[in-house]
Formats: sequence, C-alpha cells, structure tokens
Amino acid sequence: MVLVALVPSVLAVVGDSWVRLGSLVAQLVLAASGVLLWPDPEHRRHAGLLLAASAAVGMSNLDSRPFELGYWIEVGLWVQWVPAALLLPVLVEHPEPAGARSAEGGVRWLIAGMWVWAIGLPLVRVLTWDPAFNGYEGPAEWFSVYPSLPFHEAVSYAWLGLLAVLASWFTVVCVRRWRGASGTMRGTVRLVSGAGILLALGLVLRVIAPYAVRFGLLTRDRLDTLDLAHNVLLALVPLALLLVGLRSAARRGAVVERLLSAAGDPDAVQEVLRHELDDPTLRLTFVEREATLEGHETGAPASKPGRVTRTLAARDGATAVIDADARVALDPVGLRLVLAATAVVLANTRLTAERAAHLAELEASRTRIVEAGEARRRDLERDLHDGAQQHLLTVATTISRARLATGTEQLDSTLDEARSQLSAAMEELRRLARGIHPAVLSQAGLVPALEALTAGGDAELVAGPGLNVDGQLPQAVESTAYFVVAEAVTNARKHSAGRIRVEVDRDDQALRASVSDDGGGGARVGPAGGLRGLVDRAQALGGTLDVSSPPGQGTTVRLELPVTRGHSR
Amino acid sequence: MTRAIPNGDGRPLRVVLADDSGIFREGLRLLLEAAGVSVEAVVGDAAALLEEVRASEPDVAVVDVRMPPSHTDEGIRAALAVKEIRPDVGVLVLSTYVQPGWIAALLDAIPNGVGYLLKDRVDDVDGLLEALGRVAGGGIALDPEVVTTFVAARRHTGPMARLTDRERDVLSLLAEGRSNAGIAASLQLSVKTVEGHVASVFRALDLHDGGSDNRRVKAALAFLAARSS
Repeated sequence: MVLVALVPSVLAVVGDSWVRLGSLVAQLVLAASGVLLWPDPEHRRHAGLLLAASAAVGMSNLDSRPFELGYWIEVGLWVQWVPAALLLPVLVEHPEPAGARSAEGGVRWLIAGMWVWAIGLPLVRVLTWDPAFNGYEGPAEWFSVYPSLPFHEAVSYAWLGLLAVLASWFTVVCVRRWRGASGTMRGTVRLVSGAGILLALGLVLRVIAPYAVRFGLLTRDRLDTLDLAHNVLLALVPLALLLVGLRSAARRGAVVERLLSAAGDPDAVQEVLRHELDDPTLRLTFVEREATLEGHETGAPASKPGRVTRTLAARDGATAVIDADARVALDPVGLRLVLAATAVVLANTRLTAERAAHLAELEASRTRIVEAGEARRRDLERDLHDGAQQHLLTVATTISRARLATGTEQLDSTLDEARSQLSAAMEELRRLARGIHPAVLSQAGLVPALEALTAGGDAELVAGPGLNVDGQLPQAVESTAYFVVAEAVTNARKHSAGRIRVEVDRDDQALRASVSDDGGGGARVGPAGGLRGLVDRAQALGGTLDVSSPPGQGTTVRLELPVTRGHSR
Repeated sequence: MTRAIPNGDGRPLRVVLADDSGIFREGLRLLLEAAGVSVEAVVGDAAALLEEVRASEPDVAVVDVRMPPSHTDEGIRAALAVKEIRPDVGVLVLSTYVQPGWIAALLDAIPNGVGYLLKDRVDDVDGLLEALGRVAGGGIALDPEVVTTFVAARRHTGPMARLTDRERDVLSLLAEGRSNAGIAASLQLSVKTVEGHVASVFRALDLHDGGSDNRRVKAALAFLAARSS
C-alpha cells in the first residue's frame, strides 16, 4: 500500500508540477520513519500511523493532472487532509508510548474532531460540489450528488471554523507539552511538539490560501509556493521522528556500554543512571537477600511524594531499588530501557557491593573481637586485683598480726582467721578460673558444662540425641557454644523472672543451641555491647547468631556453629 | 608484743585508712591496732578520707591508689588533696603495683611527709611501722621495690658503673628515704662509714647533697629516674 501510494506521487511530479516533489519527499520520509519505528513495540502504532500517513499523502496526489479521468481527482481532493488526522495522535504523544495520551478524554475529542474535519466534512464538500461552479471543463468526473453552491459554501465555512478550533486546541496541547518537558525527554518532546505546531501552522495557511486568493489577499501564483511550504512542513514531522528514533537508538547503545563499563562498582552504576536519567538525586541501593541482624528492611521501601521507586531483579535473585525524582517516569520507555540494562549488570555489581560490605563487617568484627579480648583482659586484671589479691593481702595482714600475738590463744584464733581468709581467697580464685574456662568443659565436655550452668533450678536443659553420637566437637566450637549459652543464660536471668529453656543439638553439619526465656523481650543486637560480642564470636567460627525478641513475648537467642569447617581457629 | 610508736610527744601514732576493699581495710586496721597504732577512721573513698582528715587531724593518712569511681589513680589525687588541706599530715600511699608515673607525680608535688609502699609490705610490721613513723615525721618512705626498679634500670649505664656494690646499697637505702643512721642500722655499719659512702656516691654521681634528708633523697631519685641520661 505504501509502495503503491508512491505511484500517484511520482506521476504527479512528472505529469503535473515540480511542486508535487515536496509531497513525494514528505511521503518518503514518513515511510522511512515508520519503518524505523516499527521494531519498537511501544511505538508500533505510531509507526503504523506514519506508514498510513505516507500512503495517504500519496493518495492525495490523485488530484493531479495525470489522473484527470474518472473520479480520481475527486478522491484525491477528498483524502488530501487525511495525513494530518493520522499524524495528530503521534504528534500529541510521541515519544511516549502509543496510547499514553491519545486515550485521555480531551485528546480523544481532539482526534475525533480531526477525523470529522479531515474526512467527514470534505466528503460533504466533495458531494456537494459541481464543476460548473467554477467553470471546469476537463475530462474528470465529479460525484455531484447534491450540487448546491450555497450549501457547499456553508459547509466550507463550517469546515474552516472547525479547523480554527482544532488548530488552536492542538497548539495549546503542543505548547503545554513543550513547557512540561523535562528530564531526558526535554529535547525529544520539544522536537516533536515544535514540529507539530509548525505543521498546524502550515496546514492552516494552506487551507485558507484559496480563500485569501478569493478575497484578493493573495495572488493565485503564490498558491504553489504555499503548497510547497506545506509539504516541506509535512516532511518536518517524520524528520523530527527520525531524529528521535536515531537518538534513542544511539542512546540505547551508549547506556548499555556505559553500564557495562561501570558494572561491578555500585557507585559508578549509580553515576551512569544519574546521567542517563538526568536526575542527580537518583539513588541505587541493594536489598539484602536475607534480613541481617541489624534488621535491614527487605523489599522496596515506599515511595515518597515526588519520588518514584523501582525494584530491579536479576536472575540470581539479587534485587536493587532505584529511588529517583518522579519526573524520570515521564520517559517510561527510556526508564525501562535503562532499568533493563541495569538489571544486566546488577548481579555483578551486587556481588561487589556485598563483598565490600562483607569485608567492612569482617574488619569491624575483627576489631571488636580484639577490643573484646582487651576488655576481657582488663576485667580479669580488675577481678584479680579487687578479688584474690585483696584476699591474699588480708591473709598477709592477719599473719603479720599473728606475729604480734601475745599468748597461744590469741595466736590460734588469729591463725584460724588467716586460714578462713585463705579459703575465701581460694574460692575467689576458683570463681575467676571458672569464668576464664570452666574445668568441667575441658574435662567432661559441653553437656555436663551446660548442666552445671543450668543447675540453678530456674533453667531447663534439653540436650538432643545428636550429642551422644561419636565424634568430638572441635574445641573452639565447644567453648564458643558454652560461652554464648552462658552469656545468654546470664542475660535471661537478669531480664526475666520466668523459666529459661536451653536446647542444644548437633548433626554432621552444625551445632545448634538456643536459649529462650519468657521475659519482657525487646532485646536488640546493637553496634556494640553484649549481644554484638556473641554475634562476633559466632561469626568468627563461620556461624550465625539470631536474636528474636518481640516486646512482651520473651527472648530467644539461636546459635548455629558449623562443625565441619572453621574449627581450626 | 605491742609497740607504741612515738609521734614526738609519746602518744601513739594516729592514722586514717582509705581503701575500697572492705576486707583488706579491716585486716590492716586490726594489724595496725595490734601494733599500737591508733586507727582513727577507715573509709572507702577519697571524699570520705578528706572529711576524716579534717575531722580527726591524724598524723598519717594511709591511702590506696585504686579507689572509686574510676579505680585508676584516685589515691594519688587524694594524697595531694590531703596535703593541700593539711600540709602537716603525712600521706602514705599503698599500691599493688610499682608505677613510676604516680611516684614521680607524688614526689614532685609533695616536699615532705610522703611515702609510697607496695601493699605487700603488710607482711613486715616493723618496716610498715618504720615507714609510717618516717612519713609522720616529715620524711620520705619509698618501697625498696620501687628503688630497686629504678636502680635496675640504671645499673649498667654511665656513672652508676663507677659505684661499688656497697655504695649502690647505700644509694638504694638513701633513695628509700632512710637517714644515715637508718642506713647504718640496716647495713650494720657505723654512721661515720655510711657518711663516707654517701659522700663518695654523691661525688661519683655529681649530685649535690642538699643538706636536708628529703632533698638528698629527691636528688638521688631524680638521678635514678632520669633513665635516658
């Protein structure tokens, strides 16, 4: 059809006037831009409209001299305004996807009005025309169904009036789009709406030109010039669309290239996105695959007013959230294109981000472990100084006093004092030693040590069958499990008055222990402090520690330590 | 055997004890009282100590270094504060450790009637009473361990190498704060011989015998403490 429509145009150029060359060019450019746009599903309808407009331009050349036979001229005159109606939806919404605006109420009326103007009223005009009205004597035939000059004139003026309304309306729509254009789409939107305004102007000039001639405002020989101008303007529209298409194709390549070269570096990817979406406030954040102990939010955060958030998912399940200014949504195609390209580099980039976070956490936990060790040594010195040392010094004062004793009785009682002070000192040292490493743990193993720990009557120990199976637990696993449970039990005793339940079991993979109480809950793993220290100890052995402590519902600390690896530390 | 420690007019020596460890404080009180010292008050922190010093005007305040709230050097600062409000009250600091920094701060700020003993000395009643007496009398009493630490740091360097073993012993005792008579008694020498040794030590180390006992002690300590020279 598009190709067939070239026939009348070529014949018109050859057989009528070189002025027709303008419309041939417009027709070709329209066809070319339609073909270029066709592969893009978002814009396929626009492509179809452009191709149809191209064909319609060709059809309108049926009103030329080579077709002065039969009704061809009449048909050509009838359809000559159809290209404008076909282009209207494209001009009011491209480069937004087809249907983005033409579905809006106002624009739908504009389009409907345009079809009335382009094909409805022209049909009436054609049917009411009689060649006798202007003394035509050529071989062409005319429909002349209801030849009436006054009626024809009336319809013509109504037609002019409708054009005035539609052109103004269309201009308002275009000006609004021009002014509302922002972000990456600014240039493109302005190109299209600017071309639209020019085309409307050309159309109006061409329509009123014959009337201007009739009222002596214009000489007849200027008509051809106007016709040419109109055709050039008509060619401008597809030229604008061609430019838009070429630009977006070029951009598509550039986005992918930039993102690929930025892949792996979250900051660089964010920078590319900021540039491509023309939004310096855009933020790219990676969502943790699992909630970690700090309670990272999973899923996309809710958008704030004036912002849009989009969640990206890569094949490996990695997700990222892009938070950007709401105006990037004005270019849904560009946004989708950029996001699709981003998803490609997502997994890679996420790995880098994760590795960096992991390294930072590793470093932080290493520092905390060293600091905890330092603090532990300070506490030990303090315990020794304030406890055993003072006890022993007191023994020394008592023995000194014994040397001052007068009489056996006084000597005996003073020495008795010294002996009881000495056993207090011994007890103090034993207590301290137990705190450093309970003898029962190294001599009898984890379960007896935990039994001693939970012997207070307020705690219950459930040791799973897995612990009876042969296979010595790595020493580090055993003592870490013991200390984590001991600390958790101490915490539970401190914060809850109720029962404490300790469960411990192991399989080939891991040792699992949990300590739960029915206290007030609300415990949290802070950046420092006791629970953080336990997390560090667990992680040092490649294990995990989870704290579940909803307010009012008790606290459960779950420890899992792998028994197959990491036990060399 | 109960000894009465003279404080000049024949009365028993009056002391106030400050230590945050209740059991040690109590043990020391019993020991000192058994040895004839009058313990006017036992307290657990610096503020209470100052109050008791004001109230009972003791001859000596015996102060533990580590006391609340921070358990670092509260005792040193309390000793300085005692000297500030009652310059005539002697202060004897008891500590678990030899801490050269604390000792230097103490001796720099206090000209007389000051001592620094390890708590271990509670096993030697005579030594303890002697130190108390010396501090009460305005003298200086340093733990032999402290002096040994200083001397050990200087042993093989410079002028110290020129001293004989005997002279080194004399220097150590002198740095502990002992008088010539005290040194003589300790080494079982005549006072005259000790005077000779002291003179040759000061010559060898190029120190000036300042005249008073305390100044020569400080000169000796300053020499010993200056490790880099």
